[in-house]
Amino acid sequence: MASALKPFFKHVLITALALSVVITFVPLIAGAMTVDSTTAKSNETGSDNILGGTPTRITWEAVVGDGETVNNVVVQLPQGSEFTDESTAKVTVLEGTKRLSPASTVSIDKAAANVTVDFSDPITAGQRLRVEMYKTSLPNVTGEVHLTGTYTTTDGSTGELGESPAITVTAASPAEKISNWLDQQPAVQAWNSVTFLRLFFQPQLVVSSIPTVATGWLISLALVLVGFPLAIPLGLLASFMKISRSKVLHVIAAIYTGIIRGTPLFLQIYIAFFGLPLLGVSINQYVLAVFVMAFNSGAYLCEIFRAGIQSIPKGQFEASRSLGMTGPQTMFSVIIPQTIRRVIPTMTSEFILLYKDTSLLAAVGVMELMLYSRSIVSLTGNMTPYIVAAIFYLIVTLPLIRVVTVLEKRLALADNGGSAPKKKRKGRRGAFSQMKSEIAETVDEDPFEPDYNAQTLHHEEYEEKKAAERKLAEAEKKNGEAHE
Amino acid sequence: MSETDSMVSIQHLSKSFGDTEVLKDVNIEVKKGSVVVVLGPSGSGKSTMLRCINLLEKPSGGHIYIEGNEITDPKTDINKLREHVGMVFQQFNLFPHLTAKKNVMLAQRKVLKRSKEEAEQIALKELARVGLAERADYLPSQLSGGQQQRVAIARALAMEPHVMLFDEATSALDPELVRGVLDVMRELAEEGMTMVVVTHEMQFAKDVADHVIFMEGGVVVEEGTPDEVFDHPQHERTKDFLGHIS
Ligand SMILES: Nc1ncnc2c1ncn2[C@@H]1O[C@H](COP(=O)(O)OP(=O)(O)OP(=O)(O)O)[C@@H](O)[C@H]1O
Ligand SMILES: [Mg+2]
Repeated sequence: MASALKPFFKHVLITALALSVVITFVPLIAGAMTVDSTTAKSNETGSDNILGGTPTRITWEAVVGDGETVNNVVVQLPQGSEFTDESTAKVTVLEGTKRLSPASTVSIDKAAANVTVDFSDPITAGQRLRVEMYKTSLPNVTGEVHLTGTYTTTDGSTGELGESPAITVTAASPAEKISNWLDQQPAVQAWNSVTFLRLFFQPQLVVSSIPTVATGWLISLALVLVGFPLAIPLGLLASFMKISRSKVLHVIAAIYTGIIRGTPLFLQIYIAFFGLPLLGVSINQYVLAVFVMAFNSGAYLCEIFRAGIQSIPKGQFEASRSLGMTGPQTMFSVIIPQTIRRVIPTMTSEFILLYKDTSLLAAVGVMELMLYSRSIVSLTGNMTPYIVAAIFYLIVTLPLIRVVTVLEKRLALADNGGSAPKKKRKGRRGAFSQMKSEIAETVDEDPFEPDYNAQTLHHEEYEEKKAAERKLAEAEKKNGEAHE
Repeated sequence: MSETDSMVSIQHLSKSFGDTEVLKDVNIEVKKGSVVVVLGPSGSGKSTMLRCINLLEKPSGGHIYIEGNEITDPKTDINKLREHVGMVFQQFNLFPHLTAKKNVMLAQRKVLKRSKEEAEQIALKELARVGLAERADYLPSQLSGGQQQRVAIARALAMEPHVMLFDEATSALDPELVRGVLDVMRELAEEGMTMVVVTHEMQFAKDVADHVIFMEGGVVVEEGTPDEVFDHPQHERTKDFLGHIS
């Protein structure tokens, strides 16, 4: 059989054997100290990532070869590794499970990035040497890191320690680097010495959690930026149905808004996320999240639009219809444009609510702002990521709240005919009573025509309304005066 | 009166809101080219009658004909009817989000399907007619009440109505603004527009009306020429009312 082997194949076999001897230092081969374990402790709490450029604990182990007695070992870290003043190294010698303590000195050479261990009592064959290097940084490059080194035996010969098993390193991000730098700052250390501050606003954690929390923030933002525009046509359609003369359309819209507004969004999310899989429907959770948010917001927008449309004075419908415009023409050219201006502040508020409510999706495992920050909190046991999450919510909501305030002021101004809002109009009533007062009989079978007939006013009510209208007219007269 | 002579013919019109009967057997004839002025105390049903003519209110009974076509017939195309019946409201009801010019253009574009250029040209012409050519690009909120009402008139006129209905067009205006609006209405009358005018402006009524109607409690109490109604009223109620006014 062996004679059948081609010379070429033989050659390959021998080379491979030789290589394995050289590279892996198989312990069976006598007479050489063998590194058989190197590990580094994860420095980003919780994940099994070892970050480059970030202090970690590196454990290095080697076994003394047959017939050797070793009195000096140099563990060499790759270039770019760093020892600082805080770095220390600890030496342990084991024989089987027995811990030995031979006299030894350890020295760290920062410049050369190596650790030298000198034994006055040499260690002997089969003994295991463990060197633990604390607060030591590996190079900040993604890739595999091997430790090397040399050793000297009592007979004076020097041997090379082969490449250690690999440690996989991930390059630290700028945030991680800043966080590391902060670790070293006395001011930060002082700050963190206050328990409350450390638990709720630890500077390092603020910095290092920003990339993760920001990812969640972008997802939450995307959910609401896709969901809300979907909710607008839905809400508009529902509002048309609600004010329509058609009882069927009205009832459908009323059921929709009633159920959605009458139950918690939380429950709706549960039903959608746990109910659909039961039905065998599987939808991407982000897509489903967008639909649930849109479906929910649509009901609220429906009411906002309905109130907006019904806050437009009846005279606008009448003027438009008396010019021969149809119901839909009146709706889209006269009523909706005026409604939009009026509902934008409320719509913005609804946007803010919806944005905040994306947090409820955390309950069904949709990775968004809340869940991303929670993932760090549960690893660190520190509240800081939640505070960072709060900041990410606020950078969207606070400016929008401001926008709402400004728009509302502007609207109040415009409603007063462009002059500053001096006094509250007596004639203006609440949206509901105003809506009631703007209802009168109109002849048309247009489904989009608001159903004035729904509430024919009683005589007294009508008189009351007239009185209010007169007051309004007087107020308008005053405005007119100001202009002429 | 011959068929072709009649612009609006109201026959036995009645209207109730719930249990309240607001109009009772009202009969009114409006001849083409004539100006009919409707007088009466508040709550007498003047607005309701006027609003029935373009079906902003649905009559409870009776018939209304416009140019011989029965509009109370359920088969009538209401939008088509309204194209030819212009209406001016006490509260102007301009579209506040549109400039004066666009207010006048909107229905021309949507209803008459006029081109943008044509609608704009007509809008400017009608605004000039009411003396507001240079206010074409103002928003209603930037105009006085009187100016707003004149824009509203221009808006109605742009639709080339066959009859114009005015419901207390000057009642919401300050005295000094009333003139401008009345002048426009006077001019319209002189040009031969058929008009039904509800007003409290007695002098205007005397000067412009061809026919005056006095309503009270939902019925036509008295009617006739201005001379007959103003100078020789037959009914106590008319005399009372005119006495109060002047
Ligand atoms: N939509 C309505 N619902 C209930 N009652 C109404 C309605 N519209 C009018 N009315 C009643 O009908 C009667 C006539 O009202 P209308 O507005 O036609 O009077 P008017 O003569 O125009 O009065 P004014 O000079 O005050 O305008 C009044 O008693 C009023 O209360
Ligand atoms: Mg009236």
